[in-house]
Amino acid sequence: MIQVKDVERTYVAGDTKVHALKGVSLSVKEGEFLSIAGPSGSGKTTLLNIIGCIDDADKGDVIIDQVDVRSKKPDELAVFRREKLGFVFQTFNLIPVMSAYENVEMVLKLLKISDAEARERTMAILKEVGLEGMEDRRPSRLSGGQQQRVAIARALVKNPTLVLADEPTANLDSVTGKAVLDIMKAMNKKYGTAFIFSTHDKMVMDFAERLVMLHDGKIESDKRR
Amino acid sequence: MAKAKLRMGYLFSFAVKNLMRYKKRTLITASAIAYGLLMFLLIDGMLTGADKESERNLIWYETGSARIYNKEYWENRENVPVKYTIDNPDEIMKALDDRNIKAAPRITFGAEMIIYEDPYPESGNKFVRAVGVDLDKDSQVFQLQDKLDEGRFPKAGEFEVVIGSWLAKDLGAELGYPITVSTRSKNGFIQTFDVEIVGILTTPNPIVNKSTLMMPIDIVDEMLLMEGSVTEINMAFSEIGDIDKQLAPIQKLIADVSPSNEVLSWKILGADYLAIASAKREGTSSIIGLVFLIALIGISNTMLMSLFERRREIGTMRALGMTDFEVMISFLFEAGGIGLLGGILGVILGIGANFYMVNYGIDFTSLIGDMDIGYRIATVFKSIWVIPSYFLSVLMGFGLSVLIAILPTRKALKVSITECLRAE
Repeated sequence: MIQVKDVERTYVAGDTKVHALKGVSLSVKEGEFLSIAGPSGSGKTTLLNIIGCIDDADKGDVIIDQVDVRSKKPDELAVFRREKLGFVFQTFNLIPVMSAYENVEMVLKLLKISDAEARERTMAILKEVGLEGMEDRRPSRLSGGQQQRVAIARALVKNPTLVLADEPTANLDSVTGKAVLDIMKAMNKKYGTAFIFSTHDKMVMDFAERLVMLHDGKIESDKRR
Repeated sequence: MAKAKLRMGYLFSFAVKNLMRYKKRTLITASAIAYGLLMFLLIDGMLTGADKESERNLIWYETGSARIYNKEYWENRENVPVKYTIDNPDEIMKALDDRNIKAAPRITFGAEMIIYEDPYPESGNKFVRAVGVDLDKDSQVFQLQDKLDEGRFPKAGEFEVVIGSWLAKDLGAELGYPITVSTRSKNGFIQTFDVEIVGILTTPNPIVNKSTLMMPIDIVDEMLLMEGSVTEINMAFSEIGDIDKQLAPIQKLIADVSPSNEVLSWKILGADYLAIASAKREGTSSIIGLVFLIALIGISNTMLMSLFERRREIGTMRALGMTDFEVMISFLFEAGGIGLLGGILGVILGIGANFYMVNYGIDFTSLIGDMDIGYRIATVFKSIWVIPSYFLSVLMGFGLSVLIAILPTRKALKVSITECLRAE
């Protein structure tokens, strides 16, 4: 489903060049639950951003769902992300002026799904992530764990091909983090949606079915369990 | 199309939510726009009011609607010549009367006005533009009847004069004081005669107040050896309409009855004033423009702050699949919302302020006294309602706010999504 081949990415800051990815290749199958781990600066967020089509590689190929995303224009990529990809961020990134319900519903509105269907799907997914009765609360009135559940619901409500989660438990305590991971795992099993995490949290690494270790911009190991 | 509309509606409601989220900032920025528009509406109303009243005062007290001159006169008008005359005024007057056009002949002449200490505070002389009037006919063209502060109008056949109140104040003149007038007759001979002040005149036209020296036309005719000729015939039209249209039949009439003469409209007679008024308006418009520019800079600043604070939100929206165009539209809706709110507030404030200015105005008498500030208004400046300006204000508030927000929004969207997401 995802083919990343010989991807390189270099950042330039003034006179300094940082080689974030040095020829990374990776294949991800449908419904996989994969964790990309490694120390800070190893390139895991960069790789996740490139797979998530919010950053571009300097070299290499990135094929997602048989689409060569590197050949797409910015607006085409926006539409691709809208239809195929879900995101869960470390800092939740909910829209502050919107309620939990509206944050989730937003992605369906962007897909031009009718009000009735959007309502049905939003209510259902919020119930699944355990937020029934909290639909009208704004992010400021939700705990970190609850906000991350909204973010998961937002990522999954459109039935994406792939959900990318950048350090999803980093801002949560271990109990809440575990609960969030359980939800994601359950969703992965139920919907067959592939999940790719970036993390340096041992609990998340242990949780993944496949662990890709990055070090200094290269894949150090790739183990399935 | 319906789906596209749905998304626009969604972006609009999103923008409204954000406006509500930053209530204080929205209100402060909208207030700056409202202030700019208030100034625009107030000054526009005042200037338009001053223009209209000045035009009316020019016509009612100074030029009439139109004037007949000898064709040689207008080119030499600076010298106030009495040798370029209308030699058959009665014939023209009759022709005008037959067409129910109100008209009044006048003899305007330049003279040296000489006064002596006792009764005046001090002796001196002054060059003035004096005028001989047919008192019965003049009141049909000019609105001077009830404008006497003191005294009465001169009687025909008497060496009497009415002077403007600002001139009287300048000279220290009172009723009964004598004035010696020295001028040249139509044949070029120097002629000197004395007149007595019998009336002091105050009109809403400052030029009339500071320069009028009005005496009976028969006395002027006799002293200047005019032999029945006059320098001008003034006309009044009942309505201030399209002057060129009103003038056309009269020009034809004069061409038939008296081809050596011509008809000039008040717009030509008052061209100097109209040029000054236009320049004043342009100058004032520039100041209003500056005030409004400051308000727009406020909007631009608000948008910049908003965009800066919401970088991560912008990154999230883009990551979730909003195109840059959709994000931009959402922010432009916000800017437009602030502008619309500012426009509506500005119009409400403008209506309130202008209501006072239309009904009461501002009396500048104590401030400017008898100073001529270019307008043909002597005391109270009043506004008028310029309704199109109110619609224009709302449109300007909305439109310019949207325009001014384009640049910072475009700039914000040039930042990469990953950089936006990293923002604190």
